[in-house]
Amino acid sequence: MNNKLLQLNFSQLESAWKKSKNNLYSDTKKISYHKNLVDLFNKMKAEDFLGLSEIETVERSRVIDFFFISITFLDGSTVSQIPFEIIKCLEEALTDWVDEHDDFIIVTSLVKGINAFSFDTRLTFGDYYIIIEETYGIKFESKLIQINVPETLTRDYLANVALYHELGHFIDRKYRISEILTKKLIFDFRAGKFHIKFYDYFPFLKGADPQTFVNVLFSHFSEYFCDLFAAQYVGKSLGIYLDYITKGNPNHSNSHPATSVRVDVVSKFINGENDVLMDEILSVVVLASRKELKKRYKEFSSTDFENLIPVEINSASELHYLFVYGWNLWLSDWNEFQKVNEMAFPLSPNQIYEIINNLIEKSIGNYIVKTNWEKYKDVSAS
Amino acid sequence: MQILNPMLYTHNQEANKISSILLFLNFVLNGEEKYKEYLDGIISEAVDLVKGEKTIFDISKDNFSIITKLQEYGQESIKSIDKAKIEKIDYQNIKKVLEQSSLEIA
Repeated sequence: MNNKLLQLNFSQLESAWKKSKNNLYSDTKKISYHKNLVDLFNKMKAEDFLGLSEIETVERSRVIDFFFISITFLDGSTVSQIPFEIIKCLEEALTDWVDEHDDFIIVTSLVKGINAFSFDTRLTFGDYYIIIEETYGIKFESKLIQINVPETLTRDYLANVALYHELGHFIDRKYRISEILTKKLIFDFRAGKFHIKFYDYFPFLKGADPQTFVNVLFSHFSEYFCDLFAAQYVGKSLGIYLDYITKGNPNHSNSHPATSVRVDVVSKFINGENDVLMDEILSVVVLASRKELKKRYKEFSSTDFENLIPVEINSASELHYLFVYGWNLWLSDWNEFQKVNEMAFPLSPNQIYEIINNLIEKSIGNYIVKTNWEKYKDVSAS
Repeated sequence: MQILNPMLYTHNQEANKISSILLFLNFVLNGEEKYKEYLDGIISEAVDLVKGEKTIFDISKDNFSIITKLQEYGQESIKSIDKAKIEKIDYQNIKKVLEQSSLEIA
């Protein structure tokens, strides 16, 4: 690797950093991460890149990659940019699944494309932090969990049920659930213990050696797991949305199972029915993560949204149910809005859309204020 | 739901992980202590997995793909490693195994 190209890459970074170095964040973990970036940048700036060996050049180039990805996501997570309320819900879910949840920061990058939800693992699981600690003596206390959110949907809480699925990809990757499931299926197949019902979920395996489809199997297991992960928090809501955006596609692709099959698995999970694939996933999840896939939302009944007021949320499990509540309302006939508020004319679909999303956001916001207040009260009382 | 094809994504992640470990091995083979402790941790777990002292549920999830790859492609080299005294030849063998496996995922 040419050292002059490393210098070019660092110059590119220097220009990008000029825009990001003054970012303001709302929480201490991001502020601390940012301070480490400042420190890292200054140390790199003081280096003589031309004197580096071949392997040191590759090493530094990786650090620059790390820096660029970090600022891409931190730029989307500043005080003015971050979709604060949805992140709070995801943080609650993260707490359920990761004991050392303080070691992670959920950050978002706002992206083009209405269905462009995705999870980016590069900074969460890459070896960048080891390189930086060994090379510059800088230790990042928290790693970034990077989630891409369509910029037009940051405050669409109906569509944002997809983010629970995306967080599932982080959990899957952290505990290697799909990788273990794939290895186990191949092992069971070779040991003659393959359950014939699996063909319903992996039809491409008929007459084939599963090893040939190892990557497809992995992807499909991953999607099934993430659907179940999301269903713990938002029930069948994700399936409703998924069915629409995939146009109810009955066929699988190399990366995704058929939507109808995915929706069916989630339905069985919510209804507490037995299922070969689901049982397999549930048992591997416990072994790999010491955590359990289970319904983690608490249903409530309310007419507050029809009365145009936020719902008072009392727990994290009710917080997650807000999404289901919003979806139920969207799928209802909307007559109550007009009746309860004695409106002369019915509201338009877009007005209902705005009302539901604004009220979900306000309900989450009120819950955040309330729980923060209780936390401060406890601290000042002690 | 993911915009990124999970298969391609996983493939890239795995390739990226292998390339990091190869970089670390190059440092150690150049006589630098940097990354040695980190690599030794991975190698020790691979030895445990190959010898049946650990299962895939017990090994580090951070380095899962590397450890299982070493088990899959380097059974014999891994089995002969003395965890308490990892030699230069061991790092060289591991490098060969990972280079071979990265050719297969390329």
